[in-house]
Amino acid sequence: MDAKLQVFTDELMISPICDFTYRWALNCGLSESGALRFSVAMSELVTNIILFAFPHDRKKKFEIEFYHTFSNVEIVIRELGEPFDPDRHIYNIEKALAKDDFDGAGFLLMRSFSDEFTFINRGREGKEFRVSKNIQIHDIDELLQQSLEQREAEIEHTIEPSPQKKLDGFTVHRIKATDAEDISKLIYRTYRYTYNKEDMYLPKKIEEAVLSKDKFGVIARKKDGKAIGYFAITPKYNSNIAEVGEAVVSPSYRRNGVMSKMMNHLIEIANSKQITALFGQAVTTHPVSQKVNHKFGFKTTALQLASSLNVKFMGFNEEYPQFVSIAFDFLPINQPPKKSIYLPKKYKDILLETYDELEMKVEAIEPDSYHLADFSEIDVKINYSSSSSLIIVNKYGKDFFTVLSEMVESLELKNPKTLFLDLPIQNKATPEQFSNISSLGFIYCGLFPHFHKNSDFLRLQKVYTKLDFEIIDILSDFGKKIKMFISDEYYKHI
Amino acid sequence: MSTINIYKENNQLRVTVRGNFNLRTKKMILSRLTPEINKLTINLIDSDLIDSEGVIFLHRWLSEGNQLRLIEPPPILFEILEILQLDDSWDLEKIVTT
Repeated sequence: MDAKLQVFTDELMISPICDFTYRWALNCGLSESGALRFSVAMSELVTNIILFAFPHDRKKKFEIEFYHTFSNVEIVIRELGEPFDPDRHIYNIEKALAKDDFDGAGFLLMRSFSDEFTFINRGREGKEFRVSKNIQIHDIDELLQQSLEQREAEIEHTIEPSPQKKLDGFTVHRIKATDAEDISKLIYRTYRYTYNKEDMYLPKKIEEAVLSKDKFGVIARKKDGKAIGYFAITPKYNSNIAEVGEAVVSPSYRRNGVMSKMMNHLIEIANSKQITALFGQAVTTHPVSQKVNHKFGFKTTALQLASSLNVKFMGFNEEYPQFVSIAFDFLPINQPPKKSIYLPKKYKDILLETYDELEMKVEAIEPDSYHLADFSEIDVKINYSSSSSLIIVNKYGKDFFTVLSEMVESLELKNPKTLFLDLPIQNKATPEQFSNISSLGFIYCGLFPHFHKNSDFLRLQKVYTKLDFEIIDILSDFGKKIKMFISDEYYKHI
Repeated sequence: MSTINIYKENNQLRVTVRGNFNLRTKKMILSRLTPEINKLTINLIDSDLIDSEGVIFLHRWLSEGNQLRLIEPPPILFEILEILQLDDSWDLEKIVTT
């Protein structure tokens, strides 16, 4: 999150919020006209909240959160005012001209000047509005500061698959800011234009991430200094675990042990940073990433269905007829002390088996009594590019089921491919609350240890697209068991 | 931020908007309108942002048969008129001075 504002419902605040939005959006990479349009969308949203959610009170407060990634900016507003549903306010020009009724004009502009507008009804716990706008990615050649001629030459050169070359020694070192350009070029040569983390094409962004310690990584170089591999870990912001990813080995130098040597270095780095565990999210279109993870002791603990767009890799089969499912691989580095967990009966066996696989010590306890908070604490993360959302339950309130149902209903209006739901299994209320939500159609996804605030979570999933499980490639025996367990549930639900 | 300067001259109100033309700006102008005023001149040379509150206010002013002159309105105004399908009912040649 870049910023969080708590704002009074006073119309005096509309301009400062829009001015801040404009400057912030420019800083994040929107063009001047894009930032201005996004500010108009904000002006409409804030005005609507002031006029309709709190029509008679200028001293109520609401919250605005500002988020950005390399490819989009997103603003989330939560408020507890009078109920209103944007979908019931549709602008109609005939009504506007004949009856001077401009109802819905603000929402129309909001939708027109943003790329996504999402309304999430949180029931008694208020409303959540999300507006986001995509940042136009520059031409990748421009990012790599290479000319069109260079690109043409390079593409021509890579039309034929490069022959495998035997390496006569190579070195692996921690990345420095000065390695940024070589890393971008490696990504480009491996994925061409299809890598889903666009910031990896921009040396400046990599440099910033390295300098700010947002990521730690290693780079492999041949004796002559040419970069041939890169692998990074990114610490998770709210838990002491880190994700391994951004793994690249130059196609000509694969099968020389480059990936393994880099992974060894990453595990050493994680150890030195006292990171509790590493996790990897491996595509299931091919087994290569899973192979590397499992070679180093990672265990598959979950299978997230239809949760990613297809990424094309040079040298791999590029055709894949469905949304890509992701295997969640986990490696505890520093085993934590034994902990108490509260598991729903339905998934108790598979969850305990997963803990066994990870050699994590847990005690499954039947909860006696528990206290529900007055309000639930539930976060939502929307992944616009893969049309999936993650609902994270941090705390159960007395109205948990109603709030969750309303949120699911709101998110379903966006035609998602998958909804994920994280339940805290170190919370005594989970077994009973789980039985209440079974009617919502979620099925098993898996175990996510230490995933939020260093606590363990059971992830459930609800899939809205047809899947062929035969082409979901899972490598390990236990991973296959999870896949089988999930496919049984999936076919029962369709 | 947005600030406005307002001068009244017989049946005419001259307004200069600095900053955003939004709900608050609209209310400030409305508070200075009296029944004898039928001509509104708004200088928007220092205004980049106008939202639906501003546009609908101007549209209502015109619909009531009043005169409107906008000096150098921001380009986003024309985009909003088009989105709200109000562009056909505005005689932009008469209204807009660049």
